[in-house]
Amino acid sequence: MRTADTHTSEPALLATEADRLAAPLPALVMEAERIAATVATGLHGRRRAGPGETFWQFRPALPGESVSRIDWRQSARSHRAQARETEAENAQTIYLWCDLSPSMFWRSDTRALPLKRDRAILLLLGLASLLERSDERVRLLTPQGPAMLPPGAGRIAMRIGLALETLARQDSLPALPAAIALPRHARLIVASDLLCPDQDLDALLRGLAGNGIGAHLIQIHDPAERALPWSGRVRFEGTEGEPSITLPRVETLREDYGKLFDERVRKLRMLADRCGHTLLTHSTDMSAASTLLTLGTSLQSHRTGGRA
Amino acid sequence: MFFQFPALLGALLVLPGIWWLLRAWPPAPRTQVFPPIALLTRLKPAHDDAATPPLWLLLLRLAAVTLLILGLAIPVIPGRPVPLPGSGTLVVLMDNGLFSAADWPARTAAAHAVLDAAGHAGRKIVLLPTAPNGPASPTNEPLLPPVLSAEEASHRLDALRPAPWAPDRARIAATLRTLMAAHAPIGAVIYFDDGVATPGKEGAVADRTLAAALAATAPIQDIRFPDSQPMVLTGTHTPDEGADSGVMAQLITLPQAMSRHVRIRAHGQDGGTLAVTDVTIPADATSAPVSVALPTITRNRVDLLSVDATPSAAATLLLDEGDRLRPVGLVSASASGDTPLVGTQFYLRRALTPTADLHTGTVASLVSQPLSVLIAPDGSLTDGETRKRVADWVRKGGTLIRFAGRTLAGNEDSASETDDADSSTQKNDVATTLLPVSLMPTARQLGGAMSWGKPQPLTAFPETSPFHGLPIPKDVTVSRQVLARPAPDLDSRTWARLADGTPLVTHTPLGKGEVVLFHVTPTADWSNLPLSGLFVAMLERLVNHASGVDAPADTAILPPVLSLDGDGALGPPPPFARGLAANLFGSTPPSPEHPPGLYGSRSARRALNVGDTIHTLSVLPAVGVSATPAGHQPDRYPGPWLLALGLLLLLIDAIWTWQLRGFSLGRSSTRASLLVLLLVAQIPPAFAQDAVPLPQPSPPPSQITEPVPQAALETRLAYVLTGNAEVDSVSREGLQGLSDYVNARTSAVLGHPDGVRPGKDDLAYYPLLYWPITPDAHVTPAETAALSTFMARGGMIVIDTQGVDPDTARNDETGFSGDAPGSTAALRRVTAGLPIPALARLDDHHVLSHTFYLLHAFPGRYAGQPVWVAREGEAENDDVSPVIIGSADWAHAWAVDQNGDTRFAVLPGGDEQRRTAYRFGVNAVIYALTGNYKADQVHVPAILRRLGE
Repeated sequence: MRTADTHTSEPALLATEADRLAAPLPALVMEAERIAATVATGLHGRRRAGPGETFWQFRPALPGESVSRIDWRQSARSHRAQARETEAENAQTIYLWCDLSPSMFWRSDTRALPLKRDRAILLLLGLASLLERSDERVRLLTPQGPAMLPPGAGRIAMRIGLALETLARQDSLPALPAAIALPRHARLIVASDLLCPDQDLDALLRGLAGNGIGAHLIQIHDPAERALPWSGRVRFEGTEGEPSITLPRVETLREDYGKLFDERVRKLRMLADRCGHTLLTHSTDMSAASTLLTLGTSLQSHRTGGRA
Repeated sequence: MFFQFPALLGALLVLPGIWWLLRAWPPAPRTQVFPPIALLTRLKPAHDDAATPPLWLLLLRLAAVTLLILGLAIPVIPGRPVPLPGSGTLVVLMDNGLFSAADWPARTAAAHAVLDAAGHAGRKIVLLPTAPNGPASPTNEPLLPPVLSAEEASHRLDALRPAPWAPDRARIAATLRTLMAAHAPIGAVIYFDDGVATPGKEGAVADRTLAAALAATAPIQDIRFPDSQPMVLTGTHTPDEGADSGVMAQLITLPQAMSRHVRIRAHGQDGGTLAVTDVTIPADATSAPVSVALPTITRNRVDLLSVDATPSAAATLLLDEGDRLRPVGLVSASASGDTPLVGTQFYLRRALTPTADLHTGTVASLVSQPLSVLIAPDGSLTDGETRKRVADWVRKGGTLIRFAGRTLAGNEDSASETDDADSSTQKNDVATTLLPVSLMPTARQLGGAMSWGKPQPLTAFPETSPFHGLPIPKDVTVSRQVLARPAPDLDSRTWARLADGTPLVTHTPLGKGEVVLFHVTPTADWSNLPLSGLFVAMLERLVNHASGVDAPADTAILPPVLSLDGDGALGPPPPFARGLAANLFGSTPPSPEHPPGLYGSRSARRALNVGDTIHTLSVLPAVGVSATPAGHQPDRYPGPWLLALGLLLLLIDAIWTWQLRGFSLGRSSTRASLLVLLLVAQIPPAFAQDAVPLPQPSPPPSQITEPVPQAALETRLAYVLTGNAEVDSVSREGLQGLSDYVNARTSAVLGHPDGVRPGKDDLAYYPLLYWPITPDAHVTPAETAALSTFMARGGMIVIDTQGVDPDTARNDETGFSGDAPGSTAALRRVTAGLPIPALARLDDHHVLSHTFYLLHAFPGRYAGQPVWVAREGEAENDDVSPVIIGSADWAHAWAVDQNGDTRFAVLPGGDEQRRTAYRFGVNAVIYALTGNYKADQVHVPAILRRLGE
């Protein structure tokens, strides 16, 4: 059963998989917004006057102020000239990338743990919700470029979720985004298990850095992928067509494997740091809210630091 | 140790092959999906020998296979070699009589050990069971026992069962002599005896004969089982300690230095256990009484007593109809009835107590109880109303036994009246006079100073009489009797007559029942019949006859119906069992012709027990060299255990392999496999039962977990629920008010009142029952029965019509009262079946008027109403009235609602009336609780004065 789930090359299978993704979508959206609401209380919005389009406040015009800023209709109601201020806006777009490759469609315990893919979506949707609260522009990145979000009002998390659902119907989705021309100084959030070859990741990160795009990588892994909790003689099979491997006495190899895994994480972090990106590791048995808080804080500091 | 199939051991050669196979073929790996498989390819497994199973698993599998092979080869561990005396043919003498059943497995095991040893030594066997397995051959010539090989003898031993009769040692002695004559070289004799001397008069002779025959034969080894405890259950022979103490049997055994505890079970007709009793046999005692504490009704259902854990025919006592306690009512005519030696009940009571469940009381109370026999001494049936009642009772199937006396003899007037009556009204006469025959006006005096005649003895009982077959003592004479008036059918109505032909006992049917008249008194003044054992036997016969049991005591042959086998189990009698004459029961020892068991048809069933003829047990003197069976062990076969162990190891291996391959025990398929394995695991004990007989666990006694009713924990008043919600609520409030008043004023502590439904709820907890009568009140027979029982056991009922019926109100009553139309009819209706004694109007001299307060009026809500209680000197229950009947509506006067207010005004009114009503209630409660205590106190000054004098 588990193997049938993972080897989803058929479009029809993918479609059902997308349906399966859409089924928990409302729950995921709800959960994401709940987590976002929890985290938002700890972050501060950018409610202050500045360049933007939305009306912010009237204030008495100062001497020497540009005439074009005076709101004449408002000034006519009083004896003083009133200048119209708008709310500060910095139109920085944040792109979200979700890894929908078969390796994400896995969990070691069907009862206690979520799929890695579900956790990735949950984190992204929560982040979208959180960013929407602080008036950021959020867009979903697909292999074909930035996705057109479904039109209409509604919560951003719901719209992104629907777009993800459309996306999951596609065949052979890559684990990492291609080097697509993104606007400069945009930000990219990548939620993936990062099980792709290191050179692919390195190329992507370098390309992004060259474009001045800051990336935040969220490495999502199952606790079993770190701990290797099996013992005895086990034949391991991959999810993306890798050759299987039979290992004797797996319990003796657990320590070596743990070292290997940690080493890889260290290497990935080094790759990210070298280009000025950040890497966050998330295990599916951890709480999504704390990772979201860390991520939100990291985004905030990155942005303020960048603007300063 | 050797093997029955040693060739199978060759299979052990395949073990190295199994070793090689197990190492060459590692267990298949489990499959696991794992996304970061790329990382795993970089792992370097330190060593790959994990592909082969661990060494301990290998050894475990090899051990399992080895055990299976060894088990299938059927190894035999030879028993401890028994030193066999002598050489040549071995005679094995086996006591398989009465007392061998208890330790039969140990007995056969020891014998098997001897046979095994003899088989190894190649000696021939003569197996001689001492108890006969069938009736002796008509020629009475001992059969020559066959000489067998050890294996054949072992098979015969397996087929041997303990017999339910005593071993016939004299016959064995004869057989031994014949054997000596036929086969001269007899090497040795091994005698497995049961340690008990042959019971009976001839027993000692038989034992000596056998000892002599054995001594003449060959060297003897006498193997005795020290743990055997022969026990015999026998019926009670001393009637004095019969019914009262509940002694149902005597346990007879051999004396031992330690006191022993034995558990006796009483079984009913369906085989269920009715009671279990523990009997302690003191040290050095040979018998102990078995008393079973059971109510008479249950006791009469006991059909069989058996000693627990040692099933044998000797330790089983069958009860027949003669052992039942029949319920018999004895009418107490006067207080002096039980005066020693002269009272009318004195001899009757002593004659009936051992064999009957005797109830004494007035006719009214006895007739309401379930009795089959009513015994009325002279003078107790003088009242016409009482006679009518008893006649009704007899018509329903009761048996009335009357005795003559002065009253009956002096009954000239009524007798002459019946004399004048038409003979066609004879039938009615029986119903009114309750006499089976019409009597001559005067009694007949035989012997004495003014008479020529002599006191007459009895003549033999006729065939039709229930007394038929009873032996008549010569010295029983009758000196005075009432005479029956000659009539055509007098002869057919006579059951016993004197030597000159005058009837002594006559009877006549009445309805479904029967009236029996003894023409003498139940005391020793008219005849010495009550002094004789014949009197006891006649009464017992009559009582059994009344219950439909006609056990004959003559030579009628009773066929066997059910018989006990040697293990004390009832079954169909063996084909050679024969009938036994009725008068031989109790003196015939069990034998193959007459196995212990039940004989005769259902109405005349008799039990033949081992204990009938065994009254003591004594130790059999040892012959030859004594030995104990210790050390004698038959061959053992550990094969099944080896197989079981091998399968267990394979099971462990299977479970471990499953664990290794990642199956958890929670999965359904694994669970099913586990179930199969558990079933397999059940098999070894089944095998093992072939080798060792496991003791059967006795079922634990069922525990009674009924909660204690709350009313049993505190004193509570109760009221009868009428179904009318308003009346019931007033009853409850009234009794609550009264209970509070009593709690406040007296030391009595009453709980809150309960509403009860007679017949459904148990009334036994309540001292006083308040019963408001509504005009539409009805009672069912069950309710009447419950209330009657309540009154008979000392309960008190306050019956309140709650107002006066205007239809029957008398004009001379001046009290105020409410109308309660129809209540008089309702009162008559509901009390119709109750045993309400004669009533008298309650006045201020009655105990009830001064049990707590001194009262002169007894008002309730209505003042001035009469109150009725039992007439003093009439009530049975220590002169305590079982009822208080009135119409003053006390409940309304006592009623206190939740706020503590009295809801109902009293008429004509005033606090004084309510207070008096409460005081009457207090007096009634104290009266119900203490009875006639205050009545006794009245006499205290007189008693004190007398003491002072």
